[in-house]
Amino acid sequence: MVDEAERAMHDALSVVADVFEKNKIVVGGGAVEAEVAKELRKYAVQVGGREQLAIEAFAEAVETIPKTLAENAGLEQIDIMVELRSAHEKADGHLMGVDVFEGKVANLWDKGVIEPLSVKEQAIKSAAEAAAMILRIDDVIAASKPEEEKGKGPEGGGEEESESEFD
Amino acid sequence: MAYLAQTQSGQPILILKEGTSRSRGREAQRNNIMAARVIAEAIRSTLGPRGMDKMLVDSLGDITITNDGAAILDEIDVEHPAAKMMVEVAKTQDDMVGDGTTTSVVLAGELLKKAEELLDQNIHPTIIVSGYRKAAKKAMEVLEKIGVTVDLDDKETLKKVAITSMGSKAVGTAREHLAEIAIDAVKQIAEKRGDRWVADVDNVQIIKKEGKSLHDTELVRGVILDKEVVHSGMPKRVENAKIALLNCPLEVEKTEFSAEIRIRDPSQMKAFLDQETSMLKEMVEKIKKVGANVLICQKGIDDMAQHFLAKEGILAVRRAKESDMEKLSRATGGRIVTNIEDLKSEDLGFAELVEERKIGDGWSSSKAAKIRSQYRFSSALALREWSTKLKGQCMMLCRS
Repeated sequence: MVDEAERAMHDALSVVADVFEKNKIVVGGGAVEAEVAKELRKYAVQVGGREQLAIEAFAEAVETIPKTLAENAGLEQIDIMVELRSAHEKADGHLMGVDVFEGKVANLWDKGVIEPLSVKEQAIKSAAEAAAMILRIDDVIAASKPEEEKGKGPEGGGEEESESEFD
Repeated sequence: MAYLAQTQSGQPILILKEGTSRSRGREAQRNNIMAARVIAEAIRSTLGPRGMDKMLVDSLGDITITNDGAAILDEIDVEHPAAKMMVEVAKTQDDMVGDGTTTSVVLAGELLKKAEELLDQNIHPTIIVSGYRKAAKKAMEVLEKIGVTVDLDDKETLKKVAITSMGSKAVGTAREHLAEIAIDAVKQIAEKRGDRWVADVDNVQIIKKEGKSLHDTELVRGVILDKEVVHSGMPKRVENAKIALLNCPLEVEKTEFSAEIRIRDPSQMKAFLDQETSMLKEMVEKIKKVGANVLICQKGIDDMAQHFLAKEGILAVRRAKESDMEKLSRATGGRIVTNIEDLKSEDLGFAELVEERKIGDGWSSSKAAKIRSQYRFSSALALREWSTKLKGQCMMLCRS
């Protein structure tokens, strides 16, 4: 209980500090993600080719956030997502997000669900980086655990390389 | 076997050490993606204010119940290298912005899931990666566009941000109160560098004390030491304190080996004791001479020295933590002195008030043992001054 309070405090301090450092805010509750997904879909068509598929995949992945929010609140995610997408097509639609307490799509800016921009930016940035890094690995070479090796000196630890092609 | 190759004549050559495991191509990718997705799936259900909690039991049997993504991933032991990368994603997020850890990990997991589908359609990973990079770049532009600039004096908005971040935490009605404290604390530590604000959250220390409600959480502008004044004869409160920070003991050093001193004459006995006493007295006098009225010592203080300090009206604390000493040094502008001989008046730090206070007074008897006295080096004014040249320190008592 005390630990949970400490974590809450830590989060609160961090977000306020984030706003101080980069003083831009966005609306929470999956609204930003839905807007980003919408824009990415438009962008994907412009890019075209196989990359289009990747960008569309990215858009869909970003949409998981509102989807998961709805799912965790026990809502019907398909209904919510349809509602959310159509809401974002309208003017001022970028403020519409999943209101998990009322169980519907609503203007969350008015409800005071606000997050620092840097949190969203960092989340997308680091997720994309990690995914790219994992995707680029095509070879995993792991050294055996040094448990029952006798007499031998220490060998190098686990190394990952994507070269050394021997067939 | 992966670690064997053959020459043209068919002779096997050992390339990798026996026992090395290797997976390549699609198999390697699939394994990595699966491992990473397992991590994302694990914390997926905790996302949002209505997310579920996880109960974690560590090897010692300690239980943690939380839905904080960073805390969960920190607690579980991960073996697979790709899964470890997901934990890194959460850590980076936590270090950089302090919130949105679950979001980032869920997103990374989902990106990999979609990538797997594309891989199944025979799209080369390089294409996927470059598509993802482009998409991420575009996403940044979109975010930048929809981001709303906020006035830093707009307390209501800041409060909403803080409250949103605590949405999923079980802090109930204390949310508002904690949000206000968070804003005050950040305001205290934020400093302007050029035209940018910098706020290092590490300058705020959260101290937990059991025994009262969350509503009693308070912000202390100063440094808190979880220690007592060493001698009951010392003052409990010193205003305009000049603080000496020492990290050497105020004791007579014992010899390295066990030595025996034979005293045959009572006067010799007295001379011996007097010598010890005068050594301690000299130390205290040195502190007195440089003008200190508060002494924070990282090491021990001899009983006799305590007595002399009390007589001089110097407030003293012993065995302060090294990390606390550094904070004190930053907050008061004092220098930590290693040898008492070198102590000069320029080394002293300044605080408007040093005070011993009991926190969480015997509210519940079972917790009474944990109650300690605390000091407070405070004053908003002095702090504001420090924060321009040094880093302002401010700490918080988080009670529950």
